[in-house]
This record gives sequence, C-alpha cells and structure tokens, in this order.
Amino acid sequence: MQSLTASLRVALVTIAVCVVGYTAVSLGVAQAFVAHTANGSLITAADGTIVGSRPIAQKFTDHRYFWPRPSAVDYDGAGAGGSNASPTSTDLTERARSLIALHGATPEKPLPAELAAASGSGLDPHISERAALYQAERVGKARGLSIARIEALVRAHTSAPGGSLTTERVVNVLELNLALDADFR
Amino acid sequence: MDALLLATLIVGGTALLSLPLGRYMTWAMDPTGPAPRRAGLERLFARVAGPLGHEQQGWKQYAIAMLAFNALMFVVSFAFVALQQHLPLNPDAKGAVEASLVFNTVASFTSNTNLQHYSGEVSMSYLSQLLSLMWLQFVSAATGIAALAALARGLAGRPEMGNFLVDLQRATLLVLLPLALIVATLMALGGVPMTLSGAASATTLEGVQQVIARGPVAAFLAIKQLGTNGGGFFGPNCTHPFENPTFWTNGLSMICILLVPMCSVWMFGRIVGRPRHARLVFAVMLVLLFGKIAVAVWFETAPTQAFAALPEVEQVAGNFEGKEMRFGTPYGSGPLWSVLTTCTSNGSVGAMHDSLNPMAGLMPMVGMWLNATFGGVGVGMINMFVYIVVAVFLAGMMVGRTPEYLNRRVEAREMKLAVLTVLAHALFILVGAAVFAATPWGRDTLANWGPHGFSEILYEFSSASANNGSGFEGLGDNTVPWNVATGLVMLLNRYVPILLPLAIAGSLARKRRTAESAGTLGVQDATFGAMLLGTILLVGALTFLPAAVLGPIAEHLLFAQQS
Amino acid sequence: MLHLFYLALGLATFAALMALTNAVDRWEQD
Repeated sequence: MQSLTASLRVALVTIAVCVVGYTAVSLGVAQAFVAHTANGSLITAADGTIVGSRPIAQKFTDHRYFWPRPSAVDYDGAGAGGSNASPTSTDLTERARSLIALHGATPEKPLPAELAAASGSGLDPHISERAALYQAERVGKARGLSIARIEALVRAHTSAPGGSLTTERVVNVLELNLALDADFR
Repeated sequence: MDALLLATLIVGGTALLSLPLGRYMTWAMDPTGPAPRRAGLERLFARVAGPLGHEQQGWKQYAIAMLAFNALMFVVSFAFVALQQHLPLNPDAKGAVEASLVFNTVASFTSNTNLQHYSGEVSMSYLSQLLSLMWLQFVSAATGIAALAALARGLAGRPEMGNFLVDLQRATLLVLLPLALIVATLMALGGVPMTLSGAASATTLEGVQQVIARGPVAAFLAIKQLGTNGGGFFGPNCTHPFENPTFWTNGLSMICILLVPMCSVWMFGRIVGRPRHARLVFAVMLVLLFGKIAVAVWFETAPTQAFAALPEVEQVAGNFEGKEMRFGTPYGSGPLWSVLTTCTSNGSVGAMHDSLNPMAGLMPMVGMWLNATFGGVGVGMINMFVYIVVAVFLAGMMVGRTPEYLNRRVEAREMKLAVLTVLAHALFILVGAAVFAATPWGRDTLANWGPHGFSEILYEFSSASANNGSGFEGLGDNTVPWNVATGLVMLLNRYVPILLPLAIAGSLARKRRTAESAGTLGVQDATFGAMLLGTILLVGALTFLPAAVLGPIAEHLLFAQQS
Repeated sequence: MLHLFYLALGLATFAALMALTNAVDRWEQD
C-alpha cells in the first residue's frame, strides 16, 4: 500500500510537470514566436478562405496545374499514409501504368521515377525540379503560355532542401501552382 | 557518396554530442560526493517517493518497485484512453477506442515500444495523445535509464542498487525533460505544428475539401525521439510533413534517436568506473551500426523493381516508393533512419519500411534481433551487458580460465540467466511469427504475398519483442489476435530483459571480489572487442538466420532473378 | 465490460512478472 501511494505521488508529479507544464511551455513558445507554422502553415486566399497548407500536398488533376506525386490516401490530410506496397508488388506496376498514361510518358520521354512512386505520407508537397520541368509542356499548352515562361517560373521556385548537403533541387507544387495562378491569369 | 556522408555526420555528430551529455546524465542519475546545489532537489525527490524514498534497494526490491510503478502507468493511461470520448481536449470529437486496441496501445507505450495499430490523427484525441501516450513516453524512457543506473551500481560493487522512484524522478525531470524542452522548441522553430486547435478545413485550388489534421505535435515529437519511444503523432510518423517538415528537422530527429542511447553507454562506464571498457563497447556498437547502414544504403540504391519492366519510367538510382523528396536521395535518409530507429528500439520511421528493397528491409530486422547496437535508452546497454556476460564466459572457456567480469566470477548461475534472457527474445519472435504465419491470424492480414508477407509477420513480432514499434505497415494489424499477442509480447519482453540482468548483477555483487592478475581476461582491449562482436553475430545469426532466409533473403533472390 | 477484461489482462501480466522476480530471487538464494 505504501508503495502504491508513493507511485501515485510520483505519477502525479511527473504528469504535472511533463504533461501539463511541458505542453504549456512548448505551446507558449511556439504560439509566441512561430504562430503561423505552429498552427499548420495555412495559406489563405484574398477573401480569407483557407486554400491549403504549405507543407501538405493537395490533389491536382487539371491540366493547367502541376501535379504532385501520387498519394496512396488520395491526399487525405486527416488520414495520411503510404501504400506500404512491397517494391516488387504488381499493384505498383498497375498504378505506374495509369500514371504513365496520365502524364503521356513514352520511352523517349520517360516519367521521372518519383512521379510514379507514392510518398510515405501521401502528402509529400515536393517534386524534383526535373519532374516540374517535365510537366512544363503540358501546363504551357493548357494555359496557352510559352514553355520558356513556365520553365522560368519553375526555376524561380526551386530550392535545395538540405542546402549543400542535398544534390537535387525540389519544388513545392502548391506554391508553384499558386504562383502560376497569380502571375499568369 | 552523399548518403554515407550524411550517415557519418549524423552518427559522428551525435557521438560527439554524447560525450558531454553522457557526463551530465551520470551526474543526474548518480550524484556522488558533495553536491550542495543538488541536495534540495534530492530531498524533494525523496519526499515525493514517500517514507520509502530513503530506502536503498537490492535488486529484487528495485525490480518490484519498477514493476509496481509501471503497472500503475498502465492502469492510469488505460483509463484515460478508454474514456477519451467523455473527456475534454477532444476538438475533433474522436470516438471510443476498441477494447483490444486500448490494451495494445497502452501496453505498447508502457513498454517504451510505441507500436501503433492505429493512426494518431484518426483515432486519438489530443488528451489521449498528451496525458496517456506522451506521459508514458517520458516515464517509460525514464524506467529504462533508471534500470541501467541500478545495474551499473550493482556491477560497481555498491551494497545497494539505489531507489527506483528516486531514480525515476531523476531520469524524467533532470535528463529527459530539459532535453525535450530544447528539442520541442527547435522543432517548433523548424516548422512542426504546436497547437490545441482542431483540424483545419481547406478548399483546395481545384475546389475540393481537404481536412488538415494538426495538433500539439512538437512537444510529442521531442520526447518520442529522445526517449527512443518512436510512436508518431500522425500515422505515417516522420514521413508526415507536419511531423518532419524539413531536411533539418529530419537530421535533428535522427540525432535525438541516437543520443540518449549513446549517452547510456558513457553513463554505464562512469558508474562502474571503467571508461576504457565503455569506449570499447561503444566502438563495437559503432562497427555494427555502420555495417548495417552501409548494407541498407547500398541495397536501397536499386530502383523500384515494380517499374523495371516499364521503359516509360526512368530507371534512376533509388527506390522512391514510401519516401519523401525533402530529405534528399531515396537511398540516403530513408535507409539510414531505418537502421538508426531499429538498432535503438525507437521505431519512428522516415520512410515506409514495407516498401524498402528486401535486403534494405532486412537491416531493420537485424537491428531488432540484436537490440544492442546502442539499443533503447538504458536498456540497450543492459542488453549489451547480457552479450558481454556470454562473451566473457565463452572467452573463459576457450582459454581455460575462470570467466570473470569486473572482478567477479561469472559462473553457471549468471550464464543461465543470461541465456534465458537471450532465449526469451528469440522465442517470442520465432514462435509468434510461426504461429501467425501458419494460421489465419497472420495470413488474413497480409498486404503483400509470398516471402514479403512472411517478412511482415516476422517484422511485427520482432518489433514487439524488441520494444521497437516500427512495422511493415501494410500488415492489417489492428485485429484482436494481433493486439493481444503483440501486447503481451511487448510487456513480457520489456521487463524480463531488465529483471534477469538485474538478478545477474545482484548475484555477481554477492560474490567476493577477485583480484586482477596477469591471467585476468581484459574487457577493454581489441581482442575482447572482437570476441564480443563475434558473440553477438554468432548468437544473432544462429538464432535468426533461418527466419531471415524465409523472408527478406528469399525475396531478394526472387528480386535478383527477375532483373 | 470488455475493457475491464483487458485491464485485468495487463495487471495479470505485471503480477506474473512480479512472481517471476520472486522466483528468480528464491532460486538465486539456494
């Protein structure tokens, strides 16, 4: 019995400090200094409606937009996940075939590998710079703009995710599409 | 190759960081000598622990106190999760959690495993995540650190092993809490959300509704990594852009995964008074770690096999399935993280393990089978201690001398306990996998057929027994058989590998100190290091090689045959 | 209720572990 009350006291102390106190301090610091990202990096339109979150991919099917990587959860922001398919799975091959058809890929103009593979979270907001340039022709045609202008826009929105520690540059698809809508009505 | 550069930076950087932090951790857990600033705190800890707080415990009392407190952890958390639908801090109105899932989840977090047969943002309220799960992440990690301190004190020849409730407070409040505060702040600054507001609802550019779950992620994330817990706030764990937004948070997480396990080795060395021995053990662990990283990275450079027959898809280095772009090349961070997280019994993931190439997917399994390449906080070094006892015994037999460790003779009694510890881990994994592979309990839940399906089952039991918590997540593991079986395995193989080594230390402590002589087998030189390495590999290989052949190796051979 | 069964299952596991601890201690004393 003595040990039970002792354990209870320790439990209460640790809950008070590590759950209540710790959460409160972290919350306070985050909301005070980085409220925008702390609340989910939400992007609002001019009229105040939320159009998405910057690090969270959303679905794009229109030819006038750039398309992100495939998502095993159809870009569900409240139920994220990957395909968990074995790399030899025929499901992956089937999915790849439909993506090849969608992007109009040919052996001469092969689809960049990440556009055929689902991300771990299903919400990966990035594609490589090459994968974005790959789609430039389609986007340009759909919007009646020259490929060169689209490519320039892509290049202006690339970043190196790990500075000099990463070799490939990536593009945030949502940011790119927002820029497309903003710059080219 | 930049993948190996990344690995060297992370592992090397964390090792450097662990030197001063290991010293701090020793001071926190084992203050010896006059420490006036500390005396007030120690009195407070003792008072909270009640009239028993001043009691110095032998191994048995320490173990019972640990079990009693952990049982309370289980009960308290169980209550909060089971009643979450009636409790506050539930902005997204999460409903009741099914009974066997409550059992599995609470057993999982109590045992520092954090196996998740649920998806956080789908099933858990904020209160459950914070009050039950995050609390358990603190105190289960602290339990491991305390157990190691006790073991070390016993081996150091002290008459008593300490006081569990006092040790627990030290570990929670002096070690884990400050680190967690720092890391949570850094993560929040790095873009990880930290809010109590419910999910946000967005209308995408194409006019589709997208509900975006968020929450108090930064706080949860910090202690999840530092305490080698591993349970994600979100289902896909650290592949989720909110749980791991950038390359830099990715690096920070990996450092946190490895940090306290590395510090544990230093703390052990300091308490037993054998710093050179600790350095040797650290080196052996590094050798195994880098070996696994190299193999995982190498095999993950092969492109996704499913696309091999499709000329319309680029065949470039790296398997992108289950990976995120912001972390660099797919054969870089993904496999590196998978090795770090499974050798430390952490279990968080930075890429989907079910989608790793077969031999790259084998490395996480090896990490869990050995469970001593740094291992979990505190308990990793305890596991290594068991291997050391076996190695010392084997070495002694080979040269015809009485085996001894730290000036105590290692005899049949200690060996029996050590072998029992190793066998328990092996039996839980192999018997469990066999039963589930042979019955619909496992077969009906597979996502992938063939050897990969067997791998999914094998992985799940390995993860439960090793208290890891990662999984080949295609497995439909939220069933009553899986929940009960893994729940029991997680609890049993959490505490048995703490109890038996504590008993070994208790038994050794009762013996007379033997004097060092010219014939004493040293435990701090390269020869012993090689012996230890060999023992670990021998025990691991003999026990688990057949299972590995049936799963990942068979899959790899099929894989290689097709290309 | 089913929840109580699972709660009891967990507690039983801890009880078994305590029994194991006592058993090992007795075995060691011999």
